[in-house]
Amino acid sequence: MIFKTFIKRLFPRSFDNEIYNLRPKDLIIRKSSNHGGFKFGLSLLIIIFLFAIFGPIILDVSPYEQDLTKRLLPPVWKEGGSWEYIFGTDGNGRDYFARILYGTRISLTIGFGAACVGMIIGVSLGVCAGYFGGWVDQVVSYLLTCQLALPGLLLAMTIVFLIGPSITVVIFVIGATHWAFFLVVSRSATQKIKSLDYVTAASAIGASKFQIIIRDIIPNTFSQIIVIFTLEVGIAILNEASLSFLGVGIQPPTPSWGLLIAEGKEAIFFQPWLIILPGIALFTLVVSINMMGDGLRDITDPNSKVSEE
Amino acid sequence: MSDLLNIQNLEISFQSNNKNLKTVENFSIHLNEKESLGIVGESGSGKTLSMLALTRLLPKQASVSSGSIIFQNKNLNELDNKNFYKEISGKKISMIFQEPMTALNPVHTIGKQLLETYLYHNNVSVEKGIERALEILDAVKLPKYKQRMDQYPHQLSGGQRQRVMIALALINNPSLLIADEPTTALDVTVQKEIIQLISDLRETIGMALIFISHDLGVVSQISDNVVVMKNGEIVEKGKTLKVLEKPNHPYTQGLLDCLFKLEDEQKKNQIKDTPIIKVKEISKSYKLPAKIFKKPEIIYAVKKVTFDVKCGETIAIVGESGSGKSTVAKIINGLINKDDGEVEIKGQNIEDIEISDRAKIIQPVFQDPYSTLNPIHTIGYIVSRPLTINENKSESEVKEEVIKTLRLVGLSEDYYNRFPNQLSGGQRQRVAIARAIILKPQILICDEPTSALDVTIQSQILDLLNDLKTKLNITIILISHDISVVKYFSDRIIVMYNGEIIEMGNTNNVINVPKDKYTKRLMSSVFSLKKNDIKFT
Amino acid sequence: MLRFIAGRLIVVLSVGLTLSIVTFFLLNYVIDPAQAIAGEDALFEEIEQIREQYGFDRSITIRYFEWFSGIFQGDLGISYYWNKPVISLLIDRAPETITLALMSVSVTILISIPLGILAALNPNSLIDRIALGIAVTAQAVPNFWLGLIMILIFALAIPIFPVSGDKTLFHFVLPSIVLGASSVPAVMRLMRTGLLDVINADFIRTARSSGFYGWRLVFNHALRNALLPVVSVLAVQLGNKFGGSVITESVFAINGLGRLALESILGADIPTVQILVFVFAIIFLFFNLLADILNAYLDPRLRL
Repeated sequence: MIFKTFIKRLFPRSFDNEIYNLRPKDLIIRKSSNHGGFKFGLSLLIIIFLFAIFGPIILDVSPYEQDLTKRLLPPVWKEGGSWEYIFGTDGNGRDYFARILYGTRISLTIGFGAACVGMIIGVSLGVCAGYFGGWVDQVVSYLLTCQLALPGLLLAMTIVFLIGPSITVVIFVIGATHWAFFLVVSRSATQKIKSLDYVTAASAIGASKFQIIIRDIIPNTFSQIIVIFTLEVGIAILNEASLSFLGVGIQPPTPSWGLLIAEGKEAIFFQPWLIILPGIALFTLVVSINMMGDGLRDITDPNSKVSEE
Repeated sequence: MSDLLNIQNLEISFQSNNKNLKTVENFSIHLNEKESLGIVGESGSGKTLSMLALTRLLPKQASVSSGSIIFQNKNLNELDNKNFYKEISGKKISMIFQEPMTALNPVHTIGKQLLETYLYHNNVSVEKGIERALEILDAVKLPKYKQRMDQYPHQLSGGQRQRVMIALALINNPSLLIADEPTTALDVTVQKEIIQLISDLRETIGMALIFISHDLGVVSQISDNVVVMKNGEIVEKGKTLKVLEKPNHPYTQGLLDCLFKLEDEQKKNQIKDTPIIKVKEISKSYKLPAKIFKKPEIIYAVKKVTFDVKCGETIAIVGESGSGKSTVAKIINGLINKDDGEVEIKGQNIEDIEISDRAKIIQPVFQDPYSTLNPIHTIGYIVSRPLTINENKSESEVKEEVIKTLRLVGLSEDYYNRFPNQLSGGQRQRVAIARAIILKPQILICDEPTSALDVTIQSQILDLLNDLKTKLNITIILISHDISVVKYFSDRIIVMYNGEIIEMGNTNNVINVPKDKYTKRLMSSVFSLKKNDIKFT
Repeated sequence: MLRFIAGRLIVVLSVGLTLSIVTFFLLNYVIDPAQAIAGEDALFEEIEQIREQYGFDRSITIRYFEWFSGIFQGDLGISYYWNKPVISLLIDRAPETITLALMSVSVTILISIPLGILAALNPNSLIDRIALGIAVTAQAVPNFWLGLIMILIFALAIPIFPVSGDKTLFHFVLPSIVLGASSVPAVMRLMRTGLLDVINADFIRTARSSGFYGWRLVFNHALRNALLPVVSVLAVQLGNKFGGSVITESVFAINGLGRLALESILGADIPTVQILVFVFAIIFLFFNLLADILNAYLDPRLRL
């Protein structure tokens, strides 16, 4: 990226025909279509989404139905497995494939939900701190130090367990303990944008502070916030899995992936697929989201934007 | 004199998206020992790149695709990297760069950086090295040079750092010094000193010099020969005097015209005697971030500044960075609050004017064409926004007005739906001017409106402002550090130094017979080319 | 310098005070401690009895001041669940967690620093791709799952390290790898981009134009600049490891503070939980302070 900037400074004209003539939207589309990691992550995520939404509708399977005569059946590729239960069954004779399938919905809901909660808290604090500065900024910085110092997972465990676990509680607790990144990034982006000439020009033509924040500042921080958002979705998903694994998150019989792994732990040496399969599911989902986030960072990086130089 | 450097048919190409772009072609220069050569061109002309090829500092994607470089009768192409770095760079050929603020390593002391470079190329003791480092720091006239050895770069000013850079480049007594825009980032008064220093050191050390610059005026002061580059090719070369007197290439002619034009008289506005702006004893101070147990330090950006601006007049505020000139402009524009004093516009206190009324009276134009427009909005939206905020007009009326204004600043209506990143620097500045004049303000505050632009574009924008000034009868406050622009453009000059006005008067008076000590220094540091008396030392 | 430290110390102390209030009120007001001890299905009378027995019926402000002043006299309260003074629990369990935290940060350093340097020196090469792959993987692998997979591998396939318990330092090898791996992506990326930025900086061009090249250029001119932010992040990561030990300790059955925290939560043992939250926060703040001081010491621009 740095090198590109360097070349551009030395030789801006050679880029004229290539990128100068593209609109910002086309530029983003073009860059993303050239980014392998981003394309891979996005396609994988779309597939997982489709799987989570339509899988349970199309396939007639239940994650709760128990059949104690069919306990701990191995998956189809193991000896004794059958196509009826592709991933085998768990200790209560429930279809493991169906449980993992329904678990996708829980992970996605909590991941995106918690990241949204965190984003709303972090960005509103961050933009205010960056724009107004002064004592507002000092108060927000203080809040940030407090948030960073609190052991997030431990606090989340305590609150979720003692309030009484449910998906909504988990979403809000994880969201409320994960807004530091949003705050830091949106604050520094706002500070930077605030000092740019187009913001000064906007106040010179009579735009109000509110208009400036809505029209000039927030849209320009968007590219950085979306990157943090994707990364936070991944973090929230892993956090939920950890809480559920420790027994202080989603409660049985709801099929959360973390819970599946906790249940499979008892049989780790005999039925290892019970922990391996949901782990792979978690890993795939988080990898796809992270690859998309990394890609977005490259794509929206102002240093790689010819136009900004 | 014997040959020092001979570059024949150098060609540099860039690898970009699997395409090979030739960026420098047919680059041939010749330099004798102790001779000096100036390379002139706009950004992107390939002037820096060709010299980076010589010093093997090209960015990774760029490579020399053909051509020969003979230095001191040695073909440098035959030298491998290891020998080149050990024997040539820093020892025989040294280079100094534009940005003194970032060119030195922030975590090492000045002494350590000098010493390391000296000991690397010379097999001597540390004591000898320190001796040499002190000697060279003295030679570059670094004030209090003995204490500087243990200081870090951030403790030095820009001009001082550039002196250290020069010391670093000259510590091994090179045969050739390449200076890449060494003064562009410095204040005008410091510029002159640095150029004088380089020129003096060249004499004493007896080295050759290649001086890269966008400024023909500066180059003409220091070089025997000059090369003019455009779009990766040399368009003109020869003795400096000859090129200036009788340029062969239309591009060189154009560059000279731009310089000389500033000598001409321009159209003047009708100036009425009634003052439109009254500035009375305004002050503005900033608190440096407080440290606990320590009183916050207060810095005055503007100290008791008083002046009037007459209706239709163009007044210039000049001074170096940090002199408070931009702060004054922003206070008059109502964009920052002052601590003290009064600003009256058309007889009304600036704080008492409604923001939407203020917007119709006074508008700013800024320096940096890249940050002046919001990248996510279209040109049409940007220019129409003052109207939609302040006036009740139908959509079609607004659009009509915007297109009319765009035409006025020399842009066709095709630009309406484009985004800022699709425009060049000059075009962006035109859009910024369109945004400023669409409400038909009586006052325009132009803060260095052309200093980020290439010379040829600069003169176009100045022409545009000049044109608008008479057409719309606008009063202009011009903030600038460039005396030639000020001279061309303004009726009166205010000189600021450390937040205070130190001199004020008619343009010709201040430029020709400056009274204040600082103003004298400022005026004498301008490298102006005069049409009738091209003189060289 | 002293002034700088004093300034930071005041911030740390005031944040610590705020957090003590926040934790105490969160665990004693938002959550009803009597209900938590009695359990969800408890009868109203039972809860009321517990409330009286433990003194929860008194004003919360008074209880906070009692608790907070107790801390300074070494009285951290009595655990309901363990029936022991909380302080003795902390002293019992702390060594395990400190060992784990130190070892896991060493793991992070050993993996991420060399990898980050190599990746930055050869951008887009095979080693850069491998490094990026490791970062992406480590970032997406759930910590507890990695632990279980390690147990699976080292118990069945290559039994060289013990997979459970905390008797010898060998017992800490696998947990340290698991806990250390979670910091690898952040530290490695920081090292890589930091060094890459420095290599492209103007002052490196100056050094190159003076004839420096190769490893000498990297070690003498670039590395110190690039290591500055990494050092402070490592200090912060070390602080994080204490709070992050919960999962690893419970997977590998290490009797440290993290496991104590989990068991106390499951036992609704509020005195222990609130002290642990507070202690972890203070540890984090301490290492944050240490990072600031280190940074100010190493970077001449921040020195006073």
